[in-house]
Amino acid sequence: MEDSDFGSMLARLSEKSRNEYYNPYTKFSWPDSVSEDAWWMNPEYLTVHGTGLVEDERTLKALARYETVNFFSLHVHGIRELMIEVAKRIHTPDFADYNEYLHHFIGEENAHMWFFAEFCYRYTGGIYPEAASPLRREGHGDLWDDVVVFSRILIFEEIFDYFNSRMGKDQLIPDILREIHAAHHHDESRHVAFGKQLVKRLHQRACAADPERRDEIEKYIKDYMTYSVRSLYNPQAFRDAGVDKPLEVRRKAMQHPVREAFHVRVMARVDRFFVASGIFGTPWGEGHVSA
Amino acid sequence: MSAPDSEAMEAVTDFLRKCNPSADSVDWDCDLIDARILDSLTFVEFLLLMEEFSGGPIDLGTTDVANFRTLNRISAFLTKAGTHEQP
Repeated sequence: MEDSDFGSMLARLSEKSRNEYYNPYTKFSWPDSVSEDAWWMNPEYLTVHGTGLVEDERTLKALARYETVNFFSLHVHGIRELMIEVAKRIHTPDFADYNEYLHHFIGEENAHMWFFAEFCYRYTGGIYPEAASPLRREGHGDLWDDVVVFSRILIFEEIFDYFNSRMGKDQLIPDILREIHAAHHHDESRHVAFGKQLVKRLHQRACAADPERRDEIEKYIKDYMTYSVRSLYNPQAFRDAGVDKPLEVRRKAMQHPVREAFHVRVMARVDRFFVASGIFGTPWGEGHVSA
Repeated sequence: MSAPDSEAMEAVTDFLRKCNPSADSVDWDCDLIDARILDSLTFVEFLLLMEEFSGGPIDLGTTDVANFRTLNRISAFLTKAGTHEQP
């Protein structure tokens, strides 16, 4: 995409953000409670779906509740990282062209973070803590770190949009959950469109300045895709739902061929983007998550 | 990499090999983090594997990451947790 086309896209996205602005604090009618007899997540999207590892409906419904909390908690932690990284860059010389849209981006993400957390605090015991690594995140130099940061954001948005876009239309789940998924999906389509063009440009800039690190970055981004899929399988959600031998069940679920095929489907769109834009020499493909 | 002596160490070496194929040739005293076999992303999953084989949660507030830096230390950690025989 040429500079002028990218500029037009940013102007269009900013206009859409202005026109479609909503007050997140008044948008939703929060019910007094959400029934535990309901499926909070369609069983099709549970991490054990298709594995036969958990078959008792009561346990599966509990898992649907706790995996919803995990899913929303991952949004909250992911958005925090996203806002920190974008805030570090807005109104700096390298990101001057994106200032206006980045303001919308941060504002919308702040709204999303609020409603995901609000659901968890209103109807459950709150959000799950972040599975933080005790090891410091690897640095790749400023230009490549920009690529890594916005690739992480794009992966995170694409994974969640896979679920949001489907559960935002799912009549099986309670209204408030469907509305939250739908609201997030609506805004994220703009963020993903922006993120893809930005990552491409940042990658071209980094390649021109320091091509030696290209393979290292491809490996890191693929490892982050693997890490992100694994984060959907939260052992604490398994424990809270009363799953027997939670770590063993989690490991077996991740390794199951049905789940491997599902992981590929969830990642298909962002994997295709990374290959088509030359950021990946080969697709992420399959067989990573079960390691 | 030496032959694993137990189901737990076999799972550990298998995990490391999938993280980085060079794990096949590392000495049991090699620092897995310095050798970039374990990194900030893979360490989260590695700790869950350790929890599964040690039989309980690992609190990094009280358990030093150094316990997981080499295969010999991992083996000693799992032995102390009572999951396998040390070589």
